[in-house]
Amino acid sequence: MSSPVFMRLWAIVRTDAVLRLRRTSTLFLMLALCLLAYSIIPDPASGRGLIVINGARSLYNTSAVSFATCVLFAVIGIGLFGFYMVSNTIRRDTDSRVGMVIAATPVRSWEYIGGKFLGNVAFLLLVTAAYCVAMIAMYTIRGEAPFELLVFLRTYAQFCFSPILFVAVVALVFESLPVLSGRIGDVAYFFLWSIALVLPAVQMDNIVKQGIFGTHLSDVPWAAYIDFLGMGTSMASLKAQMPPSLTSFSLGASPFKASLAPRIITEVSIPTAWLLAKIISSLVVLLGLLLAYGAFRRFDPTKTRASARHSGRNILAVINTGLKPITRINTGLWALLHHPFGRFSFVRTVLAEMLLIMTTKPITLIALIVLNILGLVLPLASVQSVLLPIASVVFVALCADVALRERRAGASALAFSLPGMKSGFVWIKFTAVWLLGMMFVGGALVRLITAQPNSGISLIVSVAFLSAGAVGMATAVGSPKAFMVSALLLFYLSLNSGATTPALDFAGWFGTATGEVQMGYGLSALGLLLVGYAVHWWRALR
Amino acid sequence: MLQLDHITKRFSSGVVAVHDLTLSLGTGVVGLLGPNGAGKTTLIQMIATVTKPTEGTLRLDDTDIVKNPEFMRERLGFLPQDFDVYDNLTAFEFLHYMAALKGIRSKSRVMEMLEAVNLHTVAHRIAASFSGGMKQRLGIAQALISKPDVLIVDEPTAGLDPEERIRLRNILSDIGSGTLVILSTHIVSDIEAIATHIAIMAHGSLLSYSTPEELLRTAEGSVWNGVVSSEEFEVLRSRMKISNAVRKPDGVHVSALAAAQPFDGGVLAEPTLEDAFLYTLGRSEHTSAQGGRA
Repeated sequence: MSSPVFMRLWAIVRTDAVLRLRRTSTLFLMLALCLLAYSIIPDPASGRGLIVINGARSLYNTSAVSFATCVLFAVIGIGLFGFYMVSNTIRRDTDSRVGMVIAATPVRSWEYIGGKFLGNVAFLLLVTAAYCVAMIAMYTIRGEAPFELLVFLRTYAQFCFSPILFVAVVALVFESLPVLSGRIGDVAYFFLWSIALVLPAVQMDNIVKQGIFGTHLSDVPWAAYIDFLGMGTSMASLKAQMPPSLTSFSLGASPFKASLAPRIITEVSIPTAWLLAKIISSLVVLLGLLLAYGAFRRFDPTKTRASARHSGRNILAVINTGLKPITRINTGLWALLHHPFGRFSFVRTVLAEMLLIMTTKPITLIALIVLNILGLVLPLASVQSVLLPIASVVFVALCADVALRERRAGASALAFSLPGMKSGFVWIKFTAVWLLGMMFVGGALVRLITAQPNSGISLIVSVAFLSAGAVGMATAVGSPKAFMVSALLLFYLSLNSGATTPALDFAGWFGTATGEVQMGYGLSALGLLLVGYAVHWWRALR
Repeated sequence: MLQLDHITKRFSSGVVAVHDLTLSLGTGVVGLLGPNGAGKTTLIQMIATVTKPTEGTLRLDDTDIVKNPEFMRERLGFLPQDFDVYDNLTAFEFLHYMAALKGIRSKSRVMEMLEAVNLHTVAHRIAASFSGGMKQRLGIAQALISKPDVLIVDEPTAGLDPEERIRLRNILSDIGSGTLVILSTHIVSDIEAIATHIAIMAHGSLLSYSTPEELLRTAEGSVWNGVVSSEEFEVLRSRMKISNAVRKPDGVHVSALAAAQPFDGGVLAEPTLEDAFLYTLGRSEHTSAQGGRA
């Protein structure tokens, strides 16, 4: 690190890593990785296996465990959650105004962007390393063959480098482009991830089915070049070890037939030509850094202000400002606080919180009216399968930061001076968000309860579950991103599984949830609230 | 040393924050005074190369720092307004980070600076838990760590208690000669003891640039002290600039700015810098009003 350039790059990388490692959310992440390690490699005695092919589970050897855990982590852990973990690095400098100090130092813009990129890569590598340790620890418990460290490391290196580079670059590009730097970017990335996951896999389906692997670069299908997350490539790579008549295949804890002998999977390697294609496409992704560099404003307050006015982050703000006149509707509702039941401070504060959400985000009122009208007039099947998923996304986007509003505005002390607000913060926020959510789906709920009571109950529980997630997770980790990404992922999995997996029918979209499933989501909601409550008190005591 | 020629900054909204400003600054402490919205922060950001002027040139030692901002950045220490620190870094880590960005690898220099701003005893405490004054001192430390030729501090005393203000003032006055310090503020007492030159801005324009003595001379014969009743005071307040007022048992002791005796018993007094600052602002408002009428 002798040159000043390396010294500056190293300083940015090291500081970003230290800042991220000291966040509460990183602690939760590490705990989640341990839990994931425990659940992702199930005990075969439970009837579930890590890889199940044609009903037969694979033996827990290093090749199978490293391949399955690595692919799942690369696609979901890095590809999806990784983005939200690293996507606030420039914003942090802007908000603290340290960025303006940096802008007045000899640090060049390319050094700054380069340092932030390397910082993203370093953090994702650290998280990957922590995940590997958790998986190795789990292997010592569940492994059924001697552990081979080199096989384990080779597998992770092959499948993780591309998603790490992809996410590290895309996160910076999103942060640098004003239109993608806020909440809209968070949602947009989820759709980008869905496309990056599905499109190459679908395109490579024939290759997977036929097991065609050319030895030259020209034999590699174009879809492999955009398979940044590696789902299609990994399945294609495993194809050589699959039976000719593949009827079913699953990764993760899936049920298997105990009567069938376990399959032995040998080391899964990406064919050389495909690996080369992956390297080429990763290098192309790095060109995104030029885009980030070009869009980087070097904390120029005049340019940042100008872009903020035209940015996607402010599209919602612009809409809310335009809709502000309609909040006059709320004026009469504020009088409710003087109603006799308003003498109970909890009720009064909950009502005030709901009115505050509707007043600060007038779009909530529009959503409320539109969703209720559609809920009453659309055919019930469309309400269940189309309207309710849309309502869920809208609800998540509007309520993800409700628990953080005071903290972000620097008004926590003011809010906590209100009677009962400090001790009941989590419960007040939850109740307000839950009631608001119930108002969102009121029309649909009335019809569901009468036509399909079970789905109606699921809907009520799901609103409680999402509200608890919004409040509990945001309070615990101090950011709405963890909740948003988790909720969007749940919606994605639920919609993809359709009616086949009752456990994922958390909101009555398919009418297949059982009482146990509803109870499970209800208890999860309680758990999320308790975590939020515990963290809230821990912070208050500090 | 630092030459500003016809500097103008126009925002995309059309608002002109700084208008045709020309100024030449040597070494010493320059107090940049002006009411809120005068354009001080925008001017400072242009000098600090954080933003570019729409028109005009900025030269440091004959080098155009608009075209070659690195020249300034290598010689600059900058503390912006509302400066904050990262949530989870200690004072030492934060300063070490800033030092590395400025090309300084010496950890002893970091400790030396923490001692200079009296933060060495809390060097390993998370800086986010610091009081406003401690954060500002850390900000000053990062600005000074590279021994800059030009130090720019924007409203460094905002929100600080009197003790912290004095402490900050002492730190700035201790900076050796040969350095240009630009201290922007709207509080005259922040600079009256340490400024070698004072620039006054309002509405994006430079109203005055002079030594404190010259500035004081401009207000001579315009400051009137005396005691008035509460009723008279209300009338006076609406008619002229009052630079100071203290209620006492015998009435309100006032210092008023006026060309002629503004009330019975008013006696001419020696102007303070506060008086001179208000006098300059008042004169500018008077000129603008006359210009408006013309």
